[in-house]
Amino acid sequence: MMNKLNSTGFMARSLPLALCVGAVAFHAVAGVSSAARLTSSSIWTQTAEDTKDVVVLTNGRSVEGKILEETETTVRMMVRFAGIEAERSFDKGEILKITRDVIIKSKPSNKSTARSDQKSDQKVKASKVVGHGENKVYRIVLDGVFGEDITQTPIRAAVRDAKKYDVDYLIVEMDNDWSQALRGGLAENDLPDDIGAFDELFRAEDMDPVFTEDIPREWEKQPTLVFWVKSAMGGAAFLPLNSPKIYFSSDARLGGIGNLGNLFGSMGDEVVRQKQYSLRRGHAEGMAIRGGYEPRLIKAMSEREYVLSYKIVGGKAEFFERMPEAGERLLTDDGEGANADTIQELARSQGNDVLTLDADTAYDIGVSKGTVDTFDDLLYELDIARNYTMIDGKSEDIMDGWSEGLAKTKRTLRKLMREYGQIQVRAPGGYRERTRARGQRKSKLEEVQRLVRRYEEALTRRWLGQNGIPGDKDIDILKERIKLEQMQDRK
Amino acid sequence: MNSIKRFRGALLAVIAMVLTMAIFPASAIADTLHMKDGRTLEGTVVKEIEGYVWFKFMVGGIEQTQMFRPSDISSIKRDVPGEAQEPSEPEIEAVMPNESGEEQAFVPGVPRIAIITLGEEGGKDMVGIYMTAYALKEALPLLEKEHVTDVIFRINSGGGALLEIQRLSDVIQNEYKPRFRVIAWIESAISAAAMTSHAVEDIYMMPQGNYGACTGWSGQLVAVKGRQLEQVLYMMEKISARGGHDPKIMRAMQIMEPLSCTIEDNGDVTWYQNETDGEYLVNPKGRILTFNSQDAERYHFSKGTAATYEELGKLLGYDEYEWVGELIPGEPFPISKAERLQREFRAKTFEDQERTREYFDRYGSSIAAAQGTPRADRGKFVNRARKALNQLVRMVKNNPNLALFTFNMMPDQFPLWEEEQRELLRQLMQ
Repeated sequence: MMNKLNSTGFMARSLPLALCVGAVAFHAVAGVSSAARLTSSSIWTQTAEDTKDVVVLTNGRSVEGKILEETETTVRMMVRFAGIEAERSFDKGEILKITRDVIIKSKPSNKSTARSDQKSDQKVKASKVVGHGENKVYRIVLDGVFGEDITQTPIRAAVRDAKKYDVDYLIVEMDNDWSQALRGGLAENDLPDDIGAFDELFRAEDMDPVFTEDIPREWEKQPTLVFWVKSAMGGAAFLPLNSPKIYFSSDARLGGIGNLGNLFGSMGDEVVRQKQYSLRRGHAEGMAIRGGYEPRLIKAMSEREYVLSYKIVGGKAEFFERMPEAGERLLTDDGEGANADTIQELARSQGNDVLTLDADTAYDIGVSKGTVDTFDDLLYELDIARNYTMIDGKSEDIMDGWSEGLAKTKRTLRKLMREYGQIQVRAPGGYRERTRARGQRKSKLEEVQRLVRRYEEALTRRWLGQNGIPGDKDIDILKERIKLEQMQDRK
Repeated sequence: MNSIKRFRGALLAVIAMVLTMAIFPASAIADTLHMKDGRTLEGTVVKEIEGYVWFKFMVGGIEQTQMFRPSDISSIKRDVPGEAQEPSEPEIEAVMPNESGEEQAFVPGVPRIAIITLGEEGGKDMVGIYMTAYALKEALPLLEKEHVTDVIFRINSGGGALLEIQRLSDVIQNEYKPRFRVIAWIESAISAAAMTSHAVEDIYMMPQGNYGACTGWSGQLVAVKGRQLEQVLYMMEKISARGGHDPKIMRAMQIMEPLSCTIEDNGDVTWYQNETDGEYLVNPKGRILTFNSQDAERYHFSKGTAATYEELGKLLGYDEYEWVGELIPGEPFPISKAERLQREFRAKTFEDQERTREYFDRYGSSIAAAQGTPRADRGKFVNRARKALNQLVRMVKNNPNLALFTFNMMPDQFPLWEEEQRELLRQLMQ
């Protein structure tokens, strides 16, 4: 037996089990989440669909929702957080201004609506032609499923398109799909933060060189890279960390990589599991360090037992690996005993056993430079709102083209394999008919291979296996066998 | 005209060689090296560049050559009447013709630095398959041909086979260190990659770098245990000594031992294999240590952090140095001939790894077809089998370790297997 000190090679073998465990846990949580949401959604739809209350805090940020109760000292309001409603209370001492009943239009909540927003509303298109200033701005919207719609090939193509315009600002909007539909649940509900998506880190590592290597190497003038986070969950959480400039939208979240320690369950020996956790932390911390962020945040986001607090000193966050003392705030507790997140908290993504950054916390600890809900606000924050030109690039076409191509490819692959299985030798079944059938099979395989190669990075082994699609190298073997059959055949 | 140019090139190369010998005349003389740690070494200064000294001396009756940094050396006493000497300053520029006939200037005494990648992204990173002692040895003549004095190993590997660690360490220690100043620049050195890098004294990290997680395992996360574990621990104690690293660091990377340290005012670090004695807790009990770039530098395990080769060059402590290799658009550092060789080796290995099943399938199915066919018609199937066999043989020729990893046999057994297969094919045709 060969002893290995390999790190990630293990993943292919462990994936089915990890996914299986994750799926069981997920269904249990999903049920609670759905029920909890139903109890409060009617209130929201009746009273908050058309208007909202906006509370501006002394730290400059604003919170939107519906005020439920106001006393002399506090304001209690219902806010919507990543599609889930939750109550929050504020001391009046930290409130600067309250604006009630601001008329709103219904807001898209996730990727699918965001995409239709781009396509039908033409918001992005409209904004492309704005401005004649000297700062050239290019926008790339990363929405959809991380690792499939959001993947290195279209990102690289979009960044290369931006390069053509010699842009000053490259703004990457991260809004990945984190709905339960990804794991067979309801699209309306978000996945829990502790679902164990840490290993999507390795997909993020496929993509980050576009920003961290290609741009420094290939661009003569370095653009300011800005990540605007709307939803950066799972592997998508790692990507913005490569950039020193991150902004959040007010309902944004960055995380969903909790419970690294459960990734392998009780498989094997503890020392090897610890090795696996350690090397993953090492990779993720490296990304944070490269972007200029505190690496301990990675532990806080991924390890249930890790405790991290902070306080602001001279405008910067100082971190402490303990429960908070006077003047400090808790980011994550140890998740033990009374500190363990309740199922209610987990269902509402409000737990603190592992850290998922929201806009407020991200701003407090310096991960986010500011909270902005519109692109115009972002430009304003970047101090270029009066002096910019929006580049009418191809990024939208590139990203959408990839997603549409991938969806179509999946359909086509299934169809091709069905057709491949149905190829039969026609009557009278002679040499000519057998040769013809082999030719048809080879031709189908070549079509499959062409598509598999083109979309290889986005076609997971799991998907290929579930749909009976052979991999690239398997197809080579099948083609060889057909060739050999033909050689053996006789007239 | 060309012959004159060639003659001039050859003449200058000879002059350069003579000058080099004149600049380092001490190679045959007994010298004494006084170290800052109090040691006194008797031996011979083999080479000096910018204060770095390659010193040949006896250890336990075995002659070895080791490189010492300026910061390690208190003084050098040479076996020459009079005082200790400073290295001669290079005054004359020599000219070295390269393969294309063009002349490339280089200055003897000025460090010439080449970067060699060990492992790379895209699945070409496994120690034992893509990072091998064999490939490193193959690079040696090319490095020498390019008059390289310093080799930077740019490491990017998630680990691999235990058995290759000692071989790699031996090549670095016995082949590279006597010839070059060796530096490790870590993008990712996990497991066997960290254990290999551990033979190197001068370790630098990239900002995103990671180094550690060295637990040996197999199968479904089953740890190496018992006597075999002790052997690996002992191996790493010796390799730690080669790199001048406290063995407690590697132990914390291997077996969940705690690690703490105290950093003295002068920068010296004392390590403790517990959580309490050191001022800083580096690794709590029950965890496996992996350094990130910040911690590696904070605890003086790494000598610094550099994102680019230009940044790294500035950290190496030279006033003047040259990068060896060609600057190619899109490449992150100059590509030397030795680096090109490593890349070609990995590319070929990768292709072979990807196609191994195809080679085997083609070989096996062709033999089966031949066996099921009358002798008179077997030729086309035997030819097909022979082509597949040739692919398998070329695969092992490029990377002898594939004999072990693919055929489960030692490289020296492979020719025997090949001969058996060729005999089988001959018999099929008889």
